Amino acid sequence: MAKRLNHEEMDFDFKSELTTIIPHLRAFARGLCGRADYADDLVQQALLKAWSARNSFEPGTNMRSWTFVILRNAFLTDMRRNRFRGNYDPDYAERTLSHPADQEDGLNMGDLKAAMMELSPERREAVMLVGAGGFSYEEAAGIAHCAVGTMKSRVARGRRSLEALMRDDQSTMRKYAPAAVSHVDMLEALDVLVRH
Amino acid sequence: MDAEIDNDVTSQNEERATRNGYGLTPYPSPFDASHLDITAPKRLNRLSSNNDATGESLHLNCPQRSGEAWADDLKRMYDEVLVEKIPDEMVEFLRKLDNGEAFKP
Repeated sequence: MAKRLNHEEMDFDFKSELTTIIPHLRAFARGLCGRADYADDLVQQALLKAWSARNSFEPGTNMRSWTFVILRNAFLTDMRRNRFRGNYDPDYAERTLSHPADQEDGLNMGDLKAAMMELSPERREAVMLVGAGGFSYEEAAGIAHCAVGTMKSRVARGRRSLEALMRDDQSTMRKYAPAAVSHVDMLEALDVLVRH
Repeated sequence: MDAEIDNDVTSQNEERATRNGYGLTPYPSPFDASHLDITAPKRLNRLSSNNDATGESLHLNCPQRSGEAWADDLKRMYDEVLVEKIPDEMVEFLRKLDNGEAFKP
């Protein structure tokens, strides 16, 4: 009985901590896929998997990193299944902007979201983790299962690409819209932009 | 060339920090991620943009938004989601985790 109670207490603690992570999971997921509805689907998948694997989580370690790995894997699995095609919906982005009263502000945020979706998934993830999520390079590398140097490179290249895209005009953004070009074409276009 | 410019910037930052008496980190160590506060360092903006010989970021002078601005936006984009209310469906989903209902298709 005591053991069962202890187990229930552990589950309660786990769930409480998991609940506090949800906003971060939603933010990360939305940065990865650019769509709020799909992001929440990903978060639910991650929550389910995290709950199933709760016995493997070591209390006291970083649950945010742990759950981000789970969410990232769910995203990659969906990408491999071609469920997610990276289609950026500018109308949807505009509707979901948090500060619609500020027209210029809204446009800039919309541009940023569009530019984010033009990055390769690896760079987008790196920029989200380090630039927005506040993870260290080491933590981000752990989440993305890559070397620290690789993560640094992805962040640097992602930043350069984003800056180039954000400097560019709207016509260029449309020209390189993700739905219109292949992944390879997109990377080549980004490299061209970065060189200039 | 870039390395030389970096060294110049580093030494300039060190001098400025000493002169002004505040703790400006001149250059991050390989294991120090504090410089990743991308809302702050112009050094990274400079590195990631078209530079002239002076090391100044050319696009900072143009009327469009600077690199710092989009970095702010990126952080804000993330932070805005943090303060959003968690959807009721997700709260319900959490509740269902307890009794295993969430695992049913």
